[in-house]
Amino acid sequence: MALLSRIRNLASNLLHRNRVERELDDEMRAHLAMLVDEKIATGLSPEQARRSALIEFGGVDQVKEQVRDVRMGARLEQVWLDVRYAARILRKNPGFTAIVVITLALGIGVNTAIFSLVDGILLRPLPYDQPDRLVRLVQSQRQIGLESWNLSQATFTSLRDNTHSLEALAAYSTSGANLTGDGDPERVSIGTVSADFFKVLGIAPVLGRAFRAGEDTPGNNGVCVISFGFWQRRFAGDPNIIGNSLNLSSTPIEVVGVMPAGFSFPRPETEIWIPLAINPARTAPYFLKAIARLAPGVSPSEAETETTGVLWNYARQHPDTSENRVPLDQGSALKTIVTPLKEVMVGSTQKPLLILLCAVGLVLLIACANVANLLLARATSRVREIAVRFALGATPSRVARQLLTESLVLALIGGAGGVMLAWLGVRMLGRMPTDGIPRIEAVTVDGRVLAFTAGLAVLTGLLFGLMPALRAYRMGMIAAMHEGGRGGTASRRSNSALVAAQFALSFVLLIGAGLLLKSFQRLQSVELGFNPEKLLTMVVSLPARKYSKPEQSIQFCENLIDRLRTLPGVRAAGLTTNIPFVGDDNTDNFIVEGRDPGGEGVQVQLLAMTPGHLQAMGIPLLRGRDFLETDKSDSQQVAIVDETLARMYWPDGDALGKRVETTGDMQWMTIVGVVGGIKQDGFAEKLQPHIYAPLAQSPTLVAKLVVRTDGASNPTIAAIGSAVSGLDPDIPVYSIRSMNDVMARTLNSQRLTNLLLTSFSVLALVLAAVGIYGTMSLYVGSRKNEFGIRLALGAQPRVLLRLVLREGMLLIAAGIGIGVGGALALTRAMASLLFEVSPTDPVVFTGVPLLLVFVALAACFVPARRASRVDPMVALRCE
Amino acid sequence: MSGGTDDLLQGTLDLLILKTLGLGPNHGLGIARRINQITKGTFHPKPGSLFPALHRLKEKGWLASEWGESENRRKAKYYKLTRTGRRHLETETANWERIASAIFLALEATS
Repeated sequence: MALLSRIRNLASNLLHRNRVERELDDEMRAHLAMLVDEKIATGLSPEQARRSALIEFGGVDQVKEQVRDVRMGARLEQVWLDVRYAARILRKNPGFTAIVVITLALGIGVNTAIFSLVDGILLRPLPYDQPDRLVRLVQSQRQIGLESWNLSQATFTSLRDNTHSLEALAAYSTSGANLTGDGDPERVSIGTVSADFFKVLGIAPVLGRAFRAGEDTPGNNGVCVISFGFWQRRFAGDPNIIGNSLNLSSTPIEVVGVMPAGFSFPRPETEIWIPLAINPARTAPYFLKAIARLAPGVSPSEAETETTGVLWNYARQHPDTSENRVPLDQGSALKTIVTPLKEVMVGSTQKPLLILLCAVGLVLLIACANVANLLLARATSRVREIAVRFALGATPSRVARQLLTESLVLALIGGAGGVMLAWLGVRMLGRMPTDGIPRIEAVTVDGRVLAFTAGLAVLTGLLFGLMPALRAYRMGMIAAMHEGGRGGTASRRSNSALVAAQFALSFVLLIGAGLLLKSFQRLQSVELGFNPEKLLTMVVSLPARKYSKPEQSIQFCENLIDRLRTLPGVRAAGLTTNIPFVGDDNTDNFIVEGRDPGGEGVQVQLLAMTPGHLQAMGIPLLRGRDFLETDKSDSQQVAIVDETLARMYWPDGDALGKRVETTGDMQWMTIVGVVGGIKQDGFAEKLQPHIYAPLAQSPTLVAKLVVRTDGASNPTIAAIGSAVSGLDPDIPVYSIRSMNDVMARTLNSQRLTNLLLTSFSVLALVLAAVGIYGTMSLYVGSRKNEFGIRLALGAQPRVLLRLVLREGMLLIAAGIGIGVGGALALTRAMASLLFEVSPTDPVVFTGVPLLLVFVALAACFVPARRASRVDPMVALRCE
Repeated sequence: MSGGTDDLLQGTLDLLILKTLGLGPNHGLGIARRINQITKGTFHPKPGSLFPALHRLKEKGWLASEWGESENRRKAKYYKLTRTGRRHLETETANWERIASAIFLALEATS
């Protein structure tokens, strides 16, 4: 059997290598001996016969090498031999090996780390069933300034019951509830959802059941599903939990199901899901967020077309709703927008991540250039070793393969180091403030990431190993043609090209980092309109059952404020409905008395606040007065507007005494004051107009506390907690954060991007500096004799110093020249990430080249000084 | 010595080795001499191509080898045809004859 014999041969070749080798040796010797016998028989002396036989035979070692080449598994065996040989060579040069491995580990490490981010956040599918069919659905009517608008109960019901392109549509909103009963009262995060919510996501409870159809209607929604974490935390995983009741905001709710571990939608902290009480007759307010599962084979745009049609039918049947603000037959832009859910969740992080991925790619290229430079420099000193290998019968391709194997071994060791670095990096990431970055919890260094790294390492090894290998191959071909010769000048030229390329790449990275840093600085020095220093924010929520009458909650709030003002360490305190920067958002339309309500439809932020809140926030009162204790629910309805709004409607400054209306019930509010505008949603936003109403005239059950302290916040927080429980022991105080923390949170993602990009640029700069140092050292080394002679002939050391520096500067100039082109092309893609900074910012574009030149000069100075101090005698003796 | 035989086509050398061994087991030097002899000095295989070919054929299972004693009482490695080797020799011979006559005809026709 031919196949059997092949396998036997392969096994014997690989397993009994020594025996096979010995036999080959014997065979060659026997052949030679017979050849000598033959020659002797023709009458030659034994000595002559032996020489003649050797000549006829050719090189014994070459023949053996050729036989080895045809053996079964020869390739496999050679690879193994090459790897062992490479390991031996690398062990013999620990310094060289260490530098290369560290360089590669850094290059591969940052790539692995960033890839793990990209993979966890962007590439990995959402953890739901068939996640590519999940979409978000919103309404949109851009003619009245509402690009993206949630659903009302009526539009949700209409869309749910009349579409075929959606397999299921679910609505949800988020809230919180006070959990009382066994144990301390606590605030829990609630998802209020329609019955199909879990069906849309395709996740079933691990215990009990999901909601049934009809449980999301008024009177039938006294049930809840709890999260795995909550089940473990509060009930120690009690298997008999189903059927028990939770006391949520003074209402008993029956537990019907437990979700699997890791399920937390819509918010990471959501612990309890309760059905909505949907009333299809309510055409406002618009508070329902909607997700849907597309029917099989339906695209988001097809679903958009169908649901838009359904929405138009709805609008026709409900002529008095906001959907008809622009009449349908007059070119209304009313439509739905259907977006893949993943895009909604991670869309904002896509661009920064891709930029980071490009950045680490550049870092790796720079690292590769460095390693290639080192290998080229070493190849020059290995000329003799390689020549010997050719003489012993190695073919050029064989030697090239050997060198490439060495590179790959280096790359793989570097890759292993890189994985360790990445692992450390991802762990460090866990310690940094990262909330606000979507899916960050899904980031790990796992099998997928390792596979990426392995591929990257091999690619890297090929990239930097190819040039030295090809050079050796060419050398072998020349040797085979018996011409001899050395490739010295070509080596320096490619060295220089690599160094120039490194500086070009570093330039691009530094420009990118510089632009982002400048933008970040601009962002943080934005005028906020309030003073965030020493400002504490927290939330107190009153159960609707116990505080069903408005007077009760007004009374509670007034008592609380009175108590807070007397606490030690409290300078000022206020209660409001919206805190800036936390995502509190209460936008609505409004009308000004005597003005046409149509037009462009300005949206305004509506807030309620107690007297003294402005002072606590540090918002300046520009005209008129603050609210007073005398602004009661039964006194004149008053309002304070901010300058942003005042300037839009009363540019002449006569806002005081004018009347506005926001609720639609024609309760006119008289403007009694004008205050400074504030940033509501973030540093970069355009100022939105605000209307403030007195809390006493616009009571709330969820009161946001703003407290300006003396400094030490911890005792103050404790005192506030006891002040609240002194008023009502069942009410927890939660979301206690300093205003600075609240604002920093909105910048987490930018801060992380900046930190990473800056570190990568610095890393790139260091690598490039090492690269130019090495190249200039090599340059000085190769011209040592010349320098020595010139010095001996009376040249000034200064002249030589300048000569070397000029050589280095030429490389830098070339690098920067190429870099400017690259940077101009690449930074344009960053424009949308920049805040008040142009992608061609002149400060950045002059500062970065200066920095590069400075670093390069410093790196060139050492070899340049060495050139100016060559001892002529030593240099000449070397020759 | 005849020139131009080093770049003997690999397949040709393989066939010649098989043919030679078809006459009886032989060692490396013997095979080389025999090929030289039966081709009337046209082919003169050198060790650098002979031994790789022998090892390759052996790995394919067409040859077997064993240590024996040469005419001059030297230790030598003898190669012989296996059964599959003999079968292969027959098919290859037939193939070769067909190709050779085809090429001969073609050359005749054009000249």
